[in-house]
Amino acid sequence: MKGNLRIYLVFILLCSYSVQINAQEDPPTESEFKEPVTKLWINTYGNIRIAKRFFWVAQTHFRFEETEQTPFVGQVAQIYNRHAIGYIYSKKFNFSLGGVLRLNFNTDPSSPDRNLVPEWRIWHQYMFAMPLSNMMFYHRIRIEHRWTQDFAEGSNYDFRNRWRYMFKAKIPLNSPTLAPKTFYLSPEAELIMQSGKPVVGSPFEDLRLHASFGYILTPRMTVAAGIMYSQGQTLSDGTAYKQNWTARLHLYFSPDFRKVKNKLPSIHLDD
Amino acid sequence: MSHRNLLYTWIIGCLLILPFNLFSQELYTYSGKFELGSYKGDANFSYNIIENDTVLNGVFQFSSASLKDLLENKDSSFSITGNFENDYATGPWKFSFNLFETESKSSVEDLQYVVNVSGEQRLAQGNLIEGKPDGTWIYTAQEIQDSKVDKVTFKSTIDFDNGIPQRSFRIEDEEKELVGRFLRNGIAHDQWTLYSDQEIDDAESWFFSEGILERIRITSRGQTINIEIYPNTNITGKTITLDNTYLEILKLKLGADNASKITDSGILSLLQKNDLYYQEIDTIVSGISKAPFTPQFKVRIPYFPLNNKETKSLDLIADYYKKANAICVSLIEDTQISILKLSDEQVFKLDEEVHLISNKIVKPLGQVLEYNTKSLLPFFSRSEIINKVWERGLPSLNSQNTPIVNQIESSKARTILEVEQLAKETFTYLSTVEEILAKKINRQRREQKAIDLEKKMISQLQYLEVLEKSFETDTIPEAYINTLSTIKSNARSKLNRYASMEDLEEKLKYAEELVVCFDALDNIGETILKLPNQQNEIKKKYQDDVWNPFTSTVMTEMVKKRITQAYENVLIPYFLEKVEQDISCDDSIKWIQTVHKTHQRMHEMREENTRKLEKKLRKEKDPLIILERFQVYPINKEKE
Repeated sequence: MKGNLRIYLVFILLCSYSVQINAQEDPPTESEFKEPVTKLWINTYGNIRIAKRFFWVAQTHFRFEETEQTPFVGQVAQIYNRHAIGYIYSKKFNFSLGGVLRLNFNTDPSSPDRNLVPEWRIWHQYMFAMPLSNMMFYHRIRIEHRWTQDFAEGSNYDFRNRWRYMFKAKIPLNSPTLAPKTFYLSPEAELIMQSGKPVVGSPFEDLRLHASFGYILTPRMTVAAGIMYSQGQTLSDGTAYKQNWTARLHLYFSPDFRKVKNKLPSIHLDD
Repeated sequence: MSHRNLLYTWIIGCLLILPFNLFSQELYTYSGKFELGSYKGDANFSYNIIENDTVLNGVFQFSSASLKDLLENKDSSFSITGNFENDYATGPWKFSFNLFETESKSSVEDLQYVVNVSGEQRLAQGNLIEGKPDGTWIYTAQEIQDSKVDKVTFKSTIDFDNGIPQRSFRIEDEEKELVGRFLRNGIAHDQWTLYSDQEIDDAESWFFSEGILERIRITSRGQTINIEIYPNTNITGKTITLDNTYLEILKLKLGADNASKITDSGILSLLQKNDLYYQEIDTIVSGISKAPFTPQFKVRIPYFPLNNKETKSLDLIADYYKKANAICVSLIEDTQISILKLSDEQVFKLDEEVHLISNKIVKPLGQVLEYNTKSLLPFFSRSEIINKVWERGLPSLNSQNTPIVNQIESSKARTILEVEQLAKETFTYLSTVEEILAKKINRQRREQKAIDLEKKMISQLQYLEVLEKSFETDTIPEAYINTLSTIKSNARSKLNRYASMEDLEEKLKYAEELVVCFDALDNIGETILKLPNQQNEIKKKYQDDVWNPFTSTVMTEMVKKRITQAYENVLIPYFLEKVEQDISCDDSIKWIQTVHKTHQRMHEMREENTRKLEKKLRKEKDPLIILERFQVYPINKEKE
């Protein structure tokens, strides 16, 4: 075990050394954009009401990555389990605090490393809602504290912080308001920045531009599908930008298992 | 003095005392308030009590005068003084009736305030024997000015013998003076003459022959008219009192033209005035005296007493008259006839006839009966009275198909029986006319009723159209408009059926049914009009506000969907469908009630625990079962 660790450290040092040597030798003059990778995300978002102002966030995301043979739905890349307890401060503001267990699958078939490594996060988010005309606009600030490790056996956990800001709109298409049986369009842009010791010259983790088309089945069930383009610096090389085209499928559900008498008055909160 | 003398003395003494013993009932005196007919005042009189009866005896004084009334306004005073003997007014009597006012001038004379009065005074004085006038009675009416007689407005002087007028009498007023005379038995005789200031000679004379008034001669502005009354003095007559009845007989005897002449007659007016005054005294004296004070001016007059047949006949005439007159009045006053006669020739003709019969037969019949009531008939021959009432003779009804009054023919009817026959025929004919007109009126009334009903039906139909239009303007589902159109066309087809009916009776009956039915249809229309709103109401009622955390918005969510769906998708279409199936009037009411009840239940079920019900409603499409599950029963079922 100790031997492995030594080898690993030596490898890292060598790599760092070589980067420094390269930098010294030939500093890059322009960024490099990698070929886009196609992905498929199937996300379920659960907001389970547990009290007048508290809800349980339960999200499970299945993320697939292309393979040579199959675009989008190639292989499982990650499975997310995101949980939190949310607090509804008002109709226009709520915040949540919880943890994430992300299971990262090794998508490199040639890799001798582990196939699956866990990633742990603590996250908290602050959601602001703004009605405008018949549309809704949202500002979301999400801060994640993540512990990641490589697939290589014996890899240490790296700690990083993620700083995320998302701006999103929901525009009803066939109804004056966002109501059941309404189709809506939802453009969204999210900037994800990161910081931490491993982040060297690559704070810009991701910019996600996502447009989805949704349908509100009931107040408690919504489905949506969209396409997302994203780009961001690779952690190890700030000049190298990865690109993704992601097809996204969403299922939103918000059951309320409280007894009827507790639901009333339901959600008018401060009204 | 011997014992025999003593005995005689005692016997004589007893005999002397006996009358005192016999007639020594105690004499009481009354002094105080007294009332006699309409007269109220203070009285002083004495009386005995004999066998619990009050027997007036001695002086009688009864008077009333109010100084207060006199000073304030006018005083109506009177004074009656006289004497009684064993309850009979006997001896000198004096009556005074005054209506005085004062000018508030007064003077003090011998420690007395003297107030002068002005006004009217009537005085009567004379002697009475056992309540009857005896000797000379003078009645005077005079005007008083400042306590002095200003002028005499009336004066009658009549001599009586035990209540019977004797010899000559004199009655005068300011302008005229009547002088006449009686036989010893009080019967008017010879010439009664009126002298007037306006005529040089006698103005008017009544010529009596032992009570029978033979003729009257009236002179006016130099013209003399002689009116024969009973020229044949040999007729059998009856002695009667010269009173109002006699004067009535005279008027009737004279006929309309001549009666007006003697209506203004001075003699008649003076006699009537005198009669009036004497009656006033009679009222007073009769009230306190055993015998009536009735001046007996006697006359004789032809007399034709009614026999039994005639009396019966008159009763029948009265009966026929009553009925016939009632018919006439009701027909003449009937406004429907008045209108109908403008358009219906037969009604016009019959109405004319009724007027004619009323004037020419019924009213004269009433006159005959009036004469009978006044007891005048026995003083006229039947033919005379018939000819007086029907100047052209007793009319007859031509009882052919077109009965009309025969106005020209002067019948020679002379008996009451013939009048009775006419009365009977008249009543029968009027009954027939009434029947014919009644049918006509009824028909017209029915037609009027039909018109009213038609108006009502049309307005009801129009109301349905209004409802339909109000639907069109709104965003109401077409199904409702279609249903309403169906109701309207159903109503129209019913109205068409009504219009095609010919029998008025049936038509009227059907119209009455339709009005009720259309009312129900209008109600259905109103209910349908309310349905969309009610549905919305229910929809809102079954919505919950739900917080959608993904949109941060409040969304409405339908709850108890199976109930609302059953209501919206099954029951409402079922209700509309029922209406479209030419719903009957009875069913209309049930329908409305079912719809209302369903709506009410929908409200109730929102709050109820309906989990089981919702399970049962799964896939249920039968409206009747759903209604049952909703506990909505038709009214008749509910009663069971």
